[in-house]
Amino acid sequence: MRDNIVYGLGIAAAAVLAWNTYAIAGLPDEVNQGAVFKIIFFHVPMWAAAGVAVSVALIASALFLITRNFAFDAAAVASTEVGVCFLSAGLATGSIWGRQIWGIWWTWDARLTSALLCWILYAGYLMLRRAVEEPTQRATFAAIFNIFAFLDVPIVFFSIKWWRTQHPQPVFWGNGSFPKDWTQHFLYNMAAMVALGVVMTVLRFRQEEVQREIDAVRRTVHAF
Amino acid sequence: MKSAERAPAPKGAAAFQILTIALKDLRSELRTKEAINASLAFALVILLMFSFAFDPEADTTREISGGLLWIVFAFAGTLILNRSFAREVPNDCLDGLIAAPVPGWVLFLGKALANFALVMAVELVALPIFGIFYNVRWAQQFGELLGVLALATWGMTVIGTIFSALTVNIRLREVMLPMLTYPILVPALIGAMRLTAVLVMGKPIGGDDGVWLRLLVGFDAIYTAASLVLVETVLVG
Amino acid sequence: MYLLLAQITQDDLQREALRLQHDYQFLTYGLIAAWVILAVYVMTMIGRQKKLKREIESLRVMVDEKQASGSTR
Repeated sequence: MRDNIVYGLGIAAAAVLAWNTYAIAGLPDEVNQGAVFKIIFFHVPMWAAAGVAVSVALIASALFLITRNFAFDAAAVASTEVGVCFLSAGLATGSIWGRQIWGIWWTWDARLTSALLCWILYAGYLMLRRAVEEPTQRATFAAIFNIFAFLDVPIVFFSIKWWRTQHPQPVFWGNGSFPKDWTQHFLYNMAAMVALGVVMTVLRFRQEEVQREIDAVRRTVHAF
Repeated sequence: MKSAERAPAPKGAAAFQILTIALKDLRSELRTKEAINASLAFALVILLMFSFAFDPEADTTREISGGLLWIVFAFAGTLILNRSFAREVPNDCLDGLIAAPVPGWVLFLGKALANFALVMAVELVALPIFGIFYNVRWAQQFGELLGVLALATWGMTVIGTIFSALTVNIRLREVMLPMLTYPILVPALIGAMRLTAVLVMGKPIGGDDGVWLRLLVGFDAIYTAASLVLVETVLVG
Repeated sequence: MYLLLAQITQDDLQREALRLQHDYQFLTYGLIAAWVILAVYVMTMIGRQKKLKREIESLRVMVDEKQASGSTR
């Protein structure tokens, strides 16, 4: 049953994204920025999905340290990998958007710097996991590093409020405005992107659990 | 390491233990002076290389020199911080420390204090040389500069000490420690660089820069708290 | 005639057309980049799934061998 739910969710998310993209293409161009503004329909949802993924990773890491249940470790690595994926995609869309709007691929304002830092931190998490061979030690150290790394995420989120940045000021939770009839498409994309993230995390989680079981069986077989 | 059935420790015992561990580390380091010499030499070499990379006479270089200084301190500091727990690995000294009847956070604070003293020493020796090479009058606002130095160095020390404990037994230790520490340190480093650049040029810390000072203090508070809570898990596993 | 009234020239129109084309170009590049990254990740997961299947097979073979050698002893 679970399998069907996961695949069903995946297909539903993909379908919503496809339909929504078609609908977005039909929307009128934005006044100041032109057609490229429509990247916001993907840029912000990807960052939102990344935020959800790293938050889940934080909770999983903390729960692993408390309960020592390796399922939480598997959840942490799955969630972080998907998070890094969405972070990369988010950085790519933002950079290309910026190239068109600002004329530059990158700038070192507070939000972009802290976002890049976020990416480096979680990529470092994945590197740390490769450097430790013993599974319990690997899980413990990775969980601790995940907790330390998460402390950067609030800085990313609030950077556009705390500093004057090249990146636009908050549109949704600040004083910005967003065309009303666009909001529903935006929310569809948000939901679809997060759903996609959930599906990928669940699949990766399963792979991690299977790997653990294979390792356990191999150890047993070698022992006898 | 739970003190289940001992007599309740006298007040101030923790402070005494922290001081003992810190002094032990300092004493062992000052006897051989391995790490501190290497760190100082490394700092001077990097300062030299930066003088070649950027024209030391130019005004623009003097303006960015505060930032360059922190790159020097970060790299030189890592040498000392790496040694911190690496020193305990031969002869199972680390196991001995962990088995000792002191709480993990006491061990951590002791080592962090010792590291802090050593890194500050290296920084204070490198500072006059930096002043000479880059022709900056760093002594103008020495009180504030010392404050910024202390705050940022404490942040670097706390993170470096706990990750030294984390990486002590893993593959590629010397590579993993900088790789993990520097990204986490970036907010504090940026703050320190901005503030130092301002102070070294003789300007006071203005309105915009106040946010960096608050960031430094917040960074220190949060990461010290997180480290104190998690260090037991790192050491014992 | 109308162009004169609106104070725009043929050049302006061409520049505007070029800008719009550029916009769509960059929009496409951006979305392609993002989805390619996600697709690469999905493909690595597929690759890992295949590797896991191979490992299970080799384990099964190993277990069968052990049982065979165990039962003939």
